[in-house]
Amino acid sequence: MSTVHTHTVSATEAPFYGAEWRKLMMWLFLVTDALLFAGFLGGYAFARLASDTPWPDREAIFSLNFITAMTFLLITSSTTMASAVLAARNRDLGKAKLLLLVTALMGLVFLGMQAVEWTHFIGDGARLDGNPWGVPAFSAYFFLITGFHGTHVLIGVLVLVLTAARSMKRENASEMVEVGGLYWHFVDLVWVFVFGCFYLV
Amino acid sequence: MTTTHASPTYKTYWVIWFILLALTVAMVFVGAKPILIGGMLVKASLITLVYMHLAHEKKNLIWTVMLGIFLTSAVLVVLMIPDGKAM
Repeated sequence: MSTVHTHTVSATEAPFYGAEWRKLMMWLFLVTDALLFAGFLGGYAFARLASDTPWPDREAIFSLNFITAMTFLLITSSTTMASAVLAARNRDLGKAKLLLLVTALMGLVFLGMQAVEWTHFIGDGARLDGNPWGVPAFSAYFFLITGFHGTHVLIGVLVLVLTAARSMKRENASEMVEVGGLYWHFVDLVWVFVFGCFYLV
Repeated sequence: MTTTHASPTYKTYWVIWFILLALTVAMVFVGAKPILIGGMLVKASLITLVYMHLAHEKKNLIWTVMLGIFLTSAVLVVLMIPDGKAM
């Protein structure tokens, strides 16, 4: 961006020139966070393959329509988030703020639906250390993985609300929206695998 | 700074939205494992490349982000899946 760079030789150019440091740091954090979930899902796959008793039939236990609706909601929130980043980049900050809040609202509804899901599951007798379907690892991994994901959604909602409330008047508002957006998309990204691995496969 | 791709517009994002929803519905109705795994990877790629703009970032950033994840995922799959099956 600065004129200095046009005069320096390429060897001294910053390796991530073009990516602001906040964005770079967020990406690096997301890599470590992705590895956390990769470990969880890897452990889940192992437990499932190694299970002596057949894995419980998810369609009989969960309402797949309800989970699919949750997935739709998260995908839609990712779309409004991407639009918020674009609006902020175009310096259309009013629109960006509105889209951020709409995204956060969808995140809250998702959390509410997750709470309903947990209530049903616990009501059916699922616990961290056992369940009526004969494979204790099944409910243990369910609570571990969806619990960690839900915590990420909750943090994401806070990030979005704080960004909408505090960052819009900053000179680097578009960068702040973009960094918060990266985190939100990551939450959606993780859900793609949770939904696929836990409910469908 | 210079990107070879055209910058995404609002319309781009809603087109991707539609594709993601269609893929989700397809995955729910077609239970075959290869379709499910393929569907997850396509959805994940669309989100990272378009929504997270990874396709528009510098090559250095793309490699930094992707390499570790691919290697670790490969290790997890190659080492843990056969062991799980053997149990």
